[in-house]
Amino acid sequence: MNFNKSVLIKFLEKNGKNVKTDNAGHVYVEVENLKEFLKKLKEREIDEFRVMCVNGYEDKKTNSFYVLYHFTNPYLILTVKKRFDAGVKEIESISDIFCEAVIFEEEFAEKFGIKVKNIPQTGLFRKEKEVPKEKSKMCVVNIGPQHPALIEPENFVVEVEGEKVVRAEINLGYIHRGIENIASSKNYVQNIYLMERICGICSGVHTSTYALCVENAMNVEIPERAKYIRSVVLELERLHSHMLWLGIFSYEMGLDTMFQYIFKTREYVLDILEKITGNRVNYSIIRIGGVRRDISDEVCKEIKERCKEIKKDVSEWQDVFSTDDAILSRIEGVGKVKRATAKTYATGPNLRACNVKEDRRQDGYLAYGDIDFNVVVEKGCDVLASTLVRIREMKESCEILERLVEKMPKGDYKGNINPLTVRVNDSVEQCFRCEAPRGEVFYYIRGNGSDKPDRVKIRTPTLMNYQLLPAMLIGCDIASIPIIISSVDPCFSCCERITIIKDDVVEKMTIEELKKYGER
Amino acid sequence: MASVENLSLYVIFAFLSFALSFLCLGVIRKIRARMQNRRGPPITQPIWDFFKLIGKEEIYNALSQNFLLVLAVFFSLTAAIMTLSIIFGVIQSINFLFLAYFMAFPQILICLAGISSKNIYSMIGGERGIIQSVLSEIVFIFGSSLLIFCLFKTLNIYPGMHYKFTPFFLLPIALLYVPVLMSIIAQINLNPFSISDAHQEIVSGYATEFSGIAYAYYLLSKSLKFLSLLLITSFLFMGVFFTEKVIPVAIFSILALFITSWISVSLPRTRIIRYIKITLLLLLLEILGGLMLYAKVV
Repeated sequence: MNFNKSVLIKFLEKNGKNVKTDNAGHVYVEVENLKEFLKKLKEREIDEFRVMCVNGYEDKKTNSFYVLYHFTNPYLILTVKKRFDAGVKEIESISDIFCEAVIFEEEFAEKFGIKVKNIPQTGLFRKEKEVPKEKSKMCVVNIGPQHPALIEPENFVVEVEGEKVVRAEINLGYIHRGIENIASSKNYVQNIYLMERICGICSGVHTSTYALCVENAMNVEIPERAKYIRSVVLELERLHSHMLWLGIFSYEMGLDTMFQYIFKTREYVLDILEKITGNRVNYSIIRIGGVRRDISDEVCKEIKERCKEIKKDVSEWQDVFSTDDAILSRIEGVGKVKRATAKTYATGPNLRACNVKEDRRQDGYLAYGDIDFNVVVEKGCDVLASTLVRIREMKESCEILERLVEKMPKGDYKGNINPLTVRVNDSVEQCFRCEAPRGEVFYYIRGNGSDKPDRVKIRTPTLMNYQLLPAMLIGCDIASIPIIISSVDPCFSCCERITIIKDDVVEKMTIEELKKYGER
Repeated sequence: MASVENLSLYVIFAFLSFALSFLCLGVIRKIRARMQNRRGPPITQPIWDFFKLIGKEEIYNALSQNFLLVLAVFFSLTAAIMTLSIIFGVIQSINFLFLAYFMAFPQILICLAGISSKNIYSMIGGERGIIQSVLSEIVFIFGSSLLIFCLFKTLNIYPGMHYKFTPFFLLPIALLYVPVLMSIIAQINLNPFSISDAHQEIVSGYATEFSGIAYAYYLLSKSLKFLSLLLITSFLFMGVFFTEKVIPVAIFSILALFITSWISVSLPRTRIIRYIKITLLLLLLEILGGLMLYAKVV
C-alpha cells in the first residue's frame, strides 16, 4: 500500500479542522488536541512523516499565537497548526512522540521566548551551565568554538576514554544574525539578496527556494528558459559545493595534496558560474518570476566541454577514495549509524548514504521534471558511503548539466513580474522545499497583503543533520572526530538564526546590548 | 668527515648546521608545493620564520610549569647540537647506542613538558608522542644497529669505517633502510605519521603551549634532529661502502629528503592504532633483512 494524499486529507478532516492545500500541493491543518492528533499521525506509518521544523507566528487580528509543526515525507509537507492565546508563556513538547523535534523546539523556544515543557536536555543549544562539582573520570575534550577543524565557531564537547569517544554533546548558538526577523522588515525583492547571504556556498538554492515559494504564493508561472537557467545554476552550485566539501574533507584527514587538486578543478565550475551570473559566490541571478541574465550559446558549449573534464577528474577521485588503503583506513566503518536513525535525523547525502532513495529533485521542481537522472545511494551507512555518494553525485550533476544545456528552450527568461508589484495576499501561506547540496532546504512564507512578508521561516539541512552527529561520534577515535564532523558537510552560520539564553530565561536584546554581549 | 680543529671552524659548523637543517624543512615545503601545483614559499622561509618567532611574545598557561617547557627545549637543542657535532666528526668514534640515546631522549622530554602544561590537546599529543617516539626509536635503533653489527661486529661508529659492497647487499639493505626511513618520518612528525601534533585533530599536540622563543628553539632542535637523522642513516646505509664518503652521503641524504617529502605529500595522516600495526610490520621487515645479512656475512 502506497501513500495516498486523498486518504491523508480525509484523515486530517476527521481529526482536525481548516484543512487546506497551498499552490505547491502542501497541506495545512489546524488541530485542537495536538498530542492526540500527533499520536494518530505517528501510528499512520504509511505516511512516514517526520518533523521538519517548528515555527510560529502571531495573528494580531484574532489576538492569537499559532505554533506550526512542519512535517515532511517523500511526497509533501504537512503543516499542523495549534492555536494559543497571544502572550503564551509555555507549550508542551512533542519530542516524546517525534524524537527528532528536540532541536527544532529548542530553536523555537529561543526565537519566540516561549518555554517548551518536558523537552529533553540535549545541550544542542548553548546554555550558561554551572560547572559540575564532581570531576568526571573521563577526559573532556573541547572541539571548538575555535579549532583548526572548524571553519565557523561551534562547540563540540566530547568525553574520551583513552582515544575512544564515550559521550558527545553539541553546543550551538555562537552566531547571531536574526535573518528571519530582518526578512520580515524588507520587501520580497530585497529579501532575495538577503537570502543569498544565508550561505555563501549554496546561495543559489536559498534564493531559488525563496523565489519559488513567493511565486507559488502569488500563483505565478515562470518562463521555461528561466527554469532551465535556474537549474543550471543549482547544479553548478552542487558541483562546487561538493568539491569544496571533498577538498576540506581531505584536508581534515591530513591529505593536503588532494585538497589542492580538487580546488583546482573547482575553479572550472566557479569560472562558468562567473560567466553565467557575473559572480563567483552570491550570484544575484534570480528575480521573482524569472532570472536576470540569459545563458549564451558559447557558455553552453563551454559547460559541455568542462563537464567532460570534470567527469574525468571526478572518476579519478572516486578511484582514490574507494580503493586507496591509507584513505579507506581513515573512513571505512567510521561514524556508522543505523539506517533507522538516519531516516529519523538525516537529510541529503547523509541519508542517501544509508540506502534511502530520497532526493527532493524527484519532486520535479524547475526543470528537473523534464530531465532523467539517477538518485545516488550507497549502503555503507558510514563516512565512506557519504563520501562516495557526494563523489557520484558530482558525476550525476555533470550528466544533468549536459542534458539541461541540450534541452534548453529558447524564449523569454525574465518573466513579466514587475518587482514593484510583488505582493502576497493576506493570510496566504506557502511552503517550499528544494534539494540543496547538503540536503533538504525548507522555506515558509506568510503574507499580509503588503510588499513585506509577515513571517519567513527557513530550515537548512545542517540543523537536521546535527542530531545525527552524537550518534556518529560515540565509539569513534579522537582522530576521527574532525572527519565525522565534516562528513555531514556542516554549515554552522547557515542554520543559526538568533538566540540568547540565560538559565532557560530568554532575553530580548537591543542592538547595543547585543554588541556588548559579543564583546565580552 | 674531517674533524674541526679550531674555534672559527666551530662557529662555521654551528651556522652551517643551523642553515642546513632549516633548508631541509624549506626543501620539503618546496617539493610539497611543486607536487601540489603551487609555487610554495622560498626554501629559506623556515629561517625567516625562526627569526620572526624569536621576536614574538611568549604566552604561557598560568596552570603550567613553564620552567619544564624551557628546560625541555634547552635539553632538546643541546642534544641536537651534540648529535650533529658527533656526525660532523668533532668526536672521532662513538657507540651507536649512545648516539641514539641523544636523539631519543629530548623528544620524550618535550612530550613530558607538553603533558605538564595541562592543556588537553598537549596531554593527548604528549601521550601519543611518547608512544610514537618509543616505537619509532625501536625501529630506527634496531634497523641501524643490525646493519652495523652484522657488517662490523661492533656498535661503534667512526668516520673511516668501510665495507666492500657486493650486489647481494641491495635487498637486505633495502629491507633495513625502508623501516628506518619510515621511522625518520615518524620522528619528525611528517605525514602520514604526524599523529602527535595532528593540526586538525589536536591543534599542535604537545607543542600547543610552546610559544615565542621556546617554540622557535623547539623548531630548531626538530630540524637539527632531522638533519642528523638524514646524515647518520645516509652514512650507515651508503657511506660505509665508499672510501671517500662526503659525496655519496650528500647524494643519499638529498634522495632521502626527496622520498620523505614525496611520502608526506601522498598519504593522509594515519591513526595511532594503525601506526602501532605498521611498526610491527616494519620490525618484521628488519628482522628479514637482518637475517639475510647475518647469513651472508657471519
